[in-house]
Amino acid sequence: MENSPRKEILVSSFLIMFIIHSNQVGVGILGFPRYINQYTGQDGWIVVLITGLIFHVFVWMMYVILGDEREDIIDLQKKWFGSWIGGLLNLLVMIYLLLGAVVILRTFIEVIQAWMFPELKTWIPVLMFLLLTYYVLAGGFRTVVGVSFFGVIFPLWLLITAVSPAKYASFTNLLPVFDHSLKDFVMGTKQMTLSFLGAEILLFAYPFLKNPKSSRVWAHIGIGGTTIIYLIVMIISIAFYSEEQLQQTIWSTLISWKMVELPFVERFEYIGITFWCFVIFPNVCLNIWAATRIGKKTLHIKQKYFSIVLLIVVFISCVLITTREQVDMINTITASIGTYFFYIYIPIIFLYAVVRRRVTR
Amino acid sequence: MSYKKIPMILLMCIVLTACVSTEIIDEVPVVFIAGYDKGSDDKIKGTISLQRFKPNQEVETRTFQAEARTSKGLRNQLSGVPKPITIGKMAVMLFGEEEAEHGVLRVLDSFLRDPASGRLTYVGVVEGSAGDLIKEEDEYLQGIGPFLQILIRQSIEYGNMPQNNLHFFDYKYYGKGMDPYMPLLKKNENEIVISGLALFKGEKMVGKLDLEEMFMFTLINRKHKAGLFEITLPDGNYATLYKVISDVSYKVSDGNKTPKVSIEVDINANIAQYTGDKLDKRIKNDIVDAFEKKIEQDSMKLIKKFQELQIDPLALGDRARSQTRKFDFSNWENHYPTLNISVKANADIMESGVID
Repeated sequence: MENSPRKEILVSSFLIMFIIHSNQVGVGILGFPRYINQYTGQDGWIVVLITGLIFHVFVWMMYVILGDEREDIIDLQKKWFGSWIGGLLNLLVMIYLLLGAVVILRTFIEVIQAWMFPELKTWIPVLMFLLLTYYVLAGGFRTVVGVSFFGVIFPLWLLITAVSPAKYASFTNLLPVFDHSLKDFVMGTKQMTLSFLGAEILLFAYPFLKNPKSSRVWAHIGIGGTTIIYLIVMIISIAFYSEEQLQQTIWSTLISWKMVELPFVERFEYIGITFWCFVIFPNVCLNIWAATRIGKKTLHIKQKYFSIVLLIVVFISCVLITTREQVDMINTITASIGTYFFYIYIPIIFLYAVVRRRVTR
Repeated sequence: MSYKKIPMILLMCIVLTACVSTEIIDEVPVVFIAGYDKGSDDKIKGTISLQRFKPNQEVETRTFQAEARTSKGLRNQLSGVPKPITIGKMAVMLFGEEEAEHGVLRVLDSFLRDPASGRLTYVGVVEGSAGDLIKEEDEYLQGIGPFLQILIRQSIEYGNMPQNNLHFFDYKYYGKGMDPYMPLLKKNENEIVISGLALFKGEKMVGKLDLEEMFMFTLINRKHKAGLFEITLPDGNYATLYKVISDVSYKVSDGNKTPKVSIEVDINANIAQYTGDKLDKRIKNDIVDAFEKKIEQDSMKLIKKFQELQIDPLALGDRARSQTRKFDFSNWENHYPTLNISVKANADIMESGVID
């Protein structure tokens, strides 16, 4: 392809693990158990495992779709569906990516406003985040990957804090196992999908890997890491809260941080939320980066300029969302779009790719 | 590249300053303890004890009192208190007995809702008035809040009190098949003592346990390392046990029809004192027998009491849920007052000190 990236800007294949993992873990982890457990109760951890497995299948599908050549989904859609339909599809994907960036940024800022600074105006942290995003985007894909690498490494120690709520937990809450109907598990899996969204970044980052074919195992490890972290959070939440209490709790992971006792700080959440910026930031960067790729390839605008346009769009959308209900609504919308994207669109183009390759061979 | 950064840094400097109002520790009053009583006309009468940290390292404590409909509404009424009041370091929350019987959630709701409040705060009930107890703060050097916090914490860690704090209250209040409890405090002539456990049905206090009942409750509630316990032997002598470690297992059979609960308590204890002559093997066996019998009898009495009050502080319902597939709570609640429960105690004496 004439568009394929130059050799100097490629990144090592194993970094796809960090790219996928950091794009999956976001604000969802701060409160997802409640949404799953309204259907599956104490069996919520099984839903995490099921959804993790499903996403392993999606990663496999995505690798089949991407094929052997250095092409990303933007090239493929154009090649397969022509520049009009393909271009339209690309633009739709771009809107989805932007929506993802808006949702994660706005929800995190809501957390900051609810927990730390109730008087904080929305535009201030949004501006700070987006200026920094521009700075990273201006550095190119390698910088974006660097950010997502640190976005995984820096907050990793927060896993230790799971010990504190575990001290007050009663693990008999996990019994009896498998006590819900298949329908409950399906509903739970649908809810769980939102927290696993973000794996689609593989479709865009693929041509930037030094050795795309051998990156497969790292992508699966990335999904596996996400599953393990969600599993820990889920099990601790089930054991730490009683079922009905969990349904009352909006940010269950944050509240379980209240159990952390340190001599120098009374509320550990403040440290946790601050560190969570490292988790949120790569999400915003990766989503907007992928969107600028679409701008470059379909609209032929230089990424540098297009990123400014997109950042302004994200800024305005974030500021326009003001109440808890609106944040909740846009979360639900994004979740359903993402669910359709993965459960319907990806299987369709997967089949299309398989059939087409058979026919053209 | 470095030139690009400069405007960014300058912008950050402007943006990052004074986004929100500052709170300086030397100026904000910090609440360590609050007490809530039933006021006139169904209002809440709140008493808070404030500590202010003075520049010369002194700590000044003062109490304030006000009445309002909600606990956050008290803040407006506390017009004599410098603002903003911070509750982040709240150590103990007390309820007067009347307020506890009326329902504690109208106060606790604001603490569960407020992200600034902790969940390791101890909540307790005072026999009599909580406000009067807090006002006696002058007698305690470090302030009454930290004093009570240490008192309750040590009773849990070394004494005979079951684990409790705001989180556990919330857990048991919302959870199905369980009911919450709080420590019960009392003001004697010139000291504050723990007098037992206050039992709740939902948010309302409905009964209490005395110290001995509380010990039994702690032993059979969950794995626990309790403090001292004195027993009477059949021959008229007395023995005191310490480091009583209990391990309980609950078995619920036939949970969805006519449930049956059998409780097995394994206890390891050490003898701290014996009033008779010589502590030989026979007497040790006597102590074990007396102790086992006491546990079985007293805990049965305790459970009968819970059944009569129709409360479930032992979380039997939740234990039944964890052992029964497709557990039916309404069936359980119908059967609860007449539930078939048996207790089997199994005690062992580990050490008996350095003399026979």
